Amino acid sequence: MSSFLKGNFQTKKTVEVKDEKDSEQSGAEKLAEKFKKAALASIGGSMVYVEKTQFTWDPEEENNENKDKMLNPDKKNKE
Amino acid sequence: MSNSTSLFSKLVSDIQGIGRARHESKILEYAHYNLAHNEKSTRHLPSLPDHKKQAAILISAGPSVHRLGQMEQIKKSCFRGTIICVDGSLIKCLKNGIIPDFVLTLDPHPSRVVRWFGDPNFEEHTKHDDYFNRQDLDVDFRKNSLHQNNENIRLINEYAPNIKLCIASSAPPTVTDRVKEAGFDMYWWNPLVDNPQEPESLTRQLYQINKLPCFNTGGNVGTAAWVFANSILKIKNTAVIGVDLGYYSDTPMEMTQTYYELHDYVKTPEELKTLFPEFVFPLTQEKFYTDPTYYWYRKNFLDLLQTSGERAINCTEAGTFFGENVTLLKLKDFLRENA
Repeated sequence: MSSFLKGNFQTKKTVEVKDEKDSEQSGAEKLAEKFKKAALASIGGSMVYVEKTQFTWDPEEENNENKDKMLNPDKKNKE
Repeated sequence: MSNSTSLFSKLVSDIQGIGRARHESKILEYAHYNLAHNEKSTRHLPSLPDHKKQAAILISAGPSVHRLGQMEQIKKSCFRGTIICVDGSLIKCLKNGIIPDFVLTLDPHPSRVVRWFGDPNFEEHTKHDDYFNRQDLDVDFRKNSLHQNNENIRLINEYAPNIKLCIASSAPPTVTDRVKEAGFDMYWWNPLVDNPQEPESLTRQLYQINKLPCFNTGGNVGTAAWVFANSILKIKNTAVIGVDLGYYSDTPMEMTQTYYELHDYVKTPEELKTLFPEFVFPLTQEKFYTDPTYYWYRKNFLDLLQTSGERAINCTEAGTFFGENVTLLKLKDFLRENA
């Protein structure tokens, strides 16, 4: 391009021309990445979180069990 | 490892990480919405009578249930144990004369899940969504008709008051409003979605909102229902059916649940094919295939079993759910042993 067009004045700021091919790839790649992420976000279904090590968690039940143990220490010993 | 298997493995391992940002806010939003309805939790479930404690059948929603006529088998049997179903198999149960003791629902999808309870906004929700057209469901659901939906609403309204619905705090408002209207006996719980001991734990945030008991889901309602049977009802002798976690070999790839998303994810048709690996079901030697989503659900369930040392009894007689901690059995044999 620069071999066909020549300016007749000097710009105040330095103009950097990006290579057209790189810009197109960059835009296309960004779009592809966006589609990929959107696709991946759907692929796992709606419940994507998974805890690996325990079946249940109930702090209220744990507190009740602890209170019971404190109030009935003999019960624990008999068991 | 070949490039094809590494693409599949990478996709499966990426599922949880990328999904977090998309789903986290919705789960918390719905927990807040549902707070007004949390009168009872799974802590309030009444004790089971003795004959219901001995064995359970969990009816999930995979294609094998209708292909193998398993509902009819259960109906004709002398089974008196507990029947649990997932939301996606409830209407089929009722149409076969099976009234489940418990139904579980978990998925926060705002417009699809409500279909399983009869959708009062059917036309609006099906306008641009062909999800149900692409499922290997029985004919009634695939017909996708308004008439059928109205029939489903009537059926659900008739039986809901006799059914205990264990509903997760992640249920969307469309489901909450519908099931309340239908008159289900509702018991709430939180999905245990990460380690609650971690400071940024989403599970802990949910608990702080509603103080509901939390149990593991494995990423899908079928696994959640098994955890419910095993750890909440404490029925170790639970058989699962409809846990295909894959597709029959005659199911076209285009009809799988995440075909469009996977199509966008890959660059070539050859790469796309590598995302649907084949399995041979050991009990029947029949071939099935799976996709990254179902493979991830399968992995989660198997990991949970291995970590806990528990065993699952799989009477699906199809699909990809088999492994070290899974006992494979024909449904008729389980029914005979537990008559």
